Amino acid sequence: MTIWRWGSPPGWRNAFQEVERLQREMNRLWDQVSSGRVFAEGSRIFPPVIVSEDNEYYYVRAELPGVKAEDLDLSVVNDQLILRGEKKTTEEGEKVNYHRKEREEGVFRRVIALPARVNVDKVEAKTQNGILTVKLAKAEEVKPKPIQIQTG
Amino acid sequence: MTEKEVKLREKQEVKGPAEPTKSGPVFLPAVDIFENEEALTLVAELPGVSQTGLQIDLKDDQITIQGEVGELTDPKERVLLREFETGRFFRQFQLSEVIDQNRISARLKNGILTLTLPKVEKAKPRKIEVAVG
Repeated sequence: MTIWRWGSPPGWRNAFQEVERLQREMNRLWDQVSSGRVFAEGSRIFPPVIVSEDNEYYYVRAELPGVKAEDLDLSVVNDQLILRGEKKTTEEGEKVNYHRKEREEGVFRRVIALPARVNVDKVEAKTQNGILTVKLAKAEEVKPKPIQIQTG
Repeated sequence: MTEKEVKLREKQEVKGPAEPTKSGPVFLPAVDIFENEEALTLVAELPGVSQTGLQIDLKDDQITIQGEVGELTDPKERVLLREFETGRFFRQFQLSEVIDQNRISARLKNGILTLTLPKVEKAKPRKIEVAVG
């Protein structure tokens, strides 16, 4: 937080400078908010997911480029999906000289809490192009049921 | 000893001079570049890009990687949590003359693009025999 000194050096020019500085700070803050990057760096967990639903299923999609099915461990308990695995980036083996290394690697473990219980016997998962899609059937009692309306 | 945990790297949006003709976000894929005696290898993370959505162009020593990712969710699904966006991937690299452009090969698997850029013969390290005497 910047601390402004009010009332010191007199003169019109200084007063306007303070106002301009306030305006610049507000513009900068607005840019940050509008770009969506307000959360702290590193506070999110790998992998990022998209959770969606329709009447019958929950869908969890995770971005896992380069993660093979054998390096991935999925389990479902009640209303939680547990995703564990390892993301490796060095498959080459032989010693190489790196010019650039931007890809992240390491182990991950994430628990995704779903809004309601799922039928653990009816879960399908597939990976395609580095995207894992898990389709979980909602437990029977959770599915929306139409209600008959009596007239009369 | 604890294992190293993988860090989440936010997708970086490209705000470059070239405007895309289609609307939507454009992201910079994470790339590893390394070299050995035979070739330079470029590994790019392009999650969600299929073979049909990938385009690699080579022109004037510049290699351009473009990948399209469509919406992952079906329109009838209601999104409850969205932690990543999908859009287009775009990245360009300038190749040095040591690359033999005719022998560049590419492989796409699991959302990972591996580009092998072989070096021209004379750029490979050669042992030089030293005659004694």
